[in-house]
Amino acid sequence: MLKRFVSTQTFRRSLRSSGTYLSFLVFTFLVLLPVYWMTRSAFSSGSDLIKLPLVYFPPPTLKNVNTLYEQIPFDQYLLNSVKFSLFTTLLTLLVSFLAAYAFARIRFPGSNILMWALILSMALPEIGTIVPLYRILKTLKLLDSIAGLTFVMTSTLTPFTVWVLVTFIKQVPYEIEEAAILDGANLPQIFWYILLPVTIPGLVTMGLINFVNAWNNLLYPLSFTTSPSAKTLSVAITEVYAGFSPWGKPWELIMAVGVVMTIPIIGLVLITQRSIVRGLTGGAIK
Amino acid sequence: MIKNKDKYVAIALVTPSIIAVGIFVYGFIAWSVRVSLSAWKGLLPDYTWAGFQNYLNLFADPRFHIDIRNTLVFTIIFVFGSLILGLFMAILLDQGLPGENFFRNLFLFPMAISFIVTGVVWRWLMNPAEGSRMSGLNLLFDKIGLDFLINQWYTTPKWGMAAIALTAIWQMSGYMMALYLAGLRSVPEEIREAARVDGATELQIYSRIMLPYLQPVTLSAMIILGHISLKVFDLIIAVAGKQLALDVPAIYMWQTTFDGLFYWRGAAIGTLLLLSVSVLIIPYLIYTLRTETEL
Repeated sequence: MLKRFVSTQTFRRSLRSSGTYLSFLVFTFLVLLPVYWMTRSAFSSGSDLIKLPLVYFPPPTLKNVNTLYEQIPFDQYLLNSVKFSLFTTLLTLLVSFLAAYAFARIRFPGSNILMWALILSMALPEIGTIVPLYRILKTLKLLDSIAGLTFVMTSTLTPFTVWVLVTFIKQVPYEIEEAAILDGANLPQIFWYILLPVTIPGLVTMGLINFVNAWNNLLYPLSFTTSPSAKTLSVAITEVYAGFSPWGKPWELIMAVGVVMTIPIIGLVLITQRSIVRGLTGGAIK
Repeated sequence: MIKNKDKYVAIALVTPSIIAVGIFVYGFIAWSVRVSLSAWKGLLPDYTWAGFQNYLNLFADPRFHIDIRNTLVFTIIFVFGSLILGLFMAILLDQGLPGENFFRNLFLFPMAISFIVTGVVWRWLMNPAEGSRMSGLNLLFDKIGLDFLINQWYTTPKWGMAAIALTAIWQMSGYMMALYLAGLRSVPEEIREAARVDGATELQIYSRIMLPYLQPVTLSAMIILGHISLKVFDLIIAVAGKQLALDVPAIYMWQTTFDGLFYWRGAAIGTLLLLSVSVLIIPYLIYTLRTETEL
């Protein structure tokens, strides 16, 4: 009797887990389908692209990259994307770390209201301030420059970064700092020797999230750049997209830019998945 | 811990971020509100008072009606689609089967991709061409015998917006999965164990015990998704271009300001977007911060 009960239990359990794996496979297919389609199109020649019956794995070619180089200053766009994302990440971390320290450790008048103002600004749509941003950049002669883009993007990313870093700094026991202060350490020394080493996980998490955000951003580069000297890869997509080809849009070129934009991000995220997930879910789960 | 000298240090430390946010966000919001009440049209600033008539004009604008409808369609499909899929994936992953880590990472990764890339890839996949020029998803459906699923996607009259919402669901449901999974994992194991001992089925455990536990997560998730959909811009540019049928407020605002130089109208749309996001987010923030300080 007992044996029979156990075996139905196991049977049920294995039935359920095969159902689960089946769902996993369906989801995997759905997640990978666009990635496959993008990669296939990026490395396919124009004629293989739309051939019927469908060529699943057309002979890979790098021709599209060459065509891209003929049409747009691709290196320049790539370099701009890297610069913009990197500078934004570093500046955001610096500015946010300082503010986060003050919010976490020092009680000063108005700190609550300021923290609120920061958190609320996270939610406000960037597009609402695009026009005044454009005008101030113009006045400061920062339009169409990486520096201008970096400043604007930093102001967008700072609030969330401060918010997360406050939690990280609060987790560091204050006694360690106290001891250092008694030993005569000054603030920069405390930052460098005590807080930095222990908040590195938090800084890495937020650095990655900010890098990905800047790298993927379209609105700011699209609105504030006019020449190849500051345009990024996301703008490159819209430019190639505006072109024509015998099969409607030059999909193989668009997808080639897409692949270039996606590969570094996938790499970064795969290496550091755990810390990114912690950063992204930390705020919503208590 | 609090010394007088520290006050000045604190002020020095927060100044850069306060300037960044104070001027670039709040200062400019104030400026936008002011411009939305002016008669500014053209390259040169014109702060002549036009008052709330501007907003009445906007609400009478047929294009803005299309925008509101499209935003509603997008929001409803996107928010519920992502939540349901995310929860479903999270529950499946929560079973603790081998390979969980691999699948979790895989499901999460679309959210790291740029909206503009997601948009163009899906536009290419959702090719509405028919017959011998059939491609992408329609071709796939044709191949595997699901012909009834073949459709016009984003060119479908009236429901094209739903197709764009699908691409957003593809991108964000993995994030919802991560949120829900973290929520599920925070439920104490003893509670599940106790329910099991009392003879509850797995289904009952999830519907009666876990779901109530997940309410705060669902609320956070809805806020995150809702505010993404209110400001959706990249995806629309990528999939729809500037077709009127698939217009949203952000696109209208961008066009009317940069192409049409109707500064007052752009600012009014921006202000309404800000208002609607604030209505969504402020009660939530108050709720969250209150519960946080209680901890």
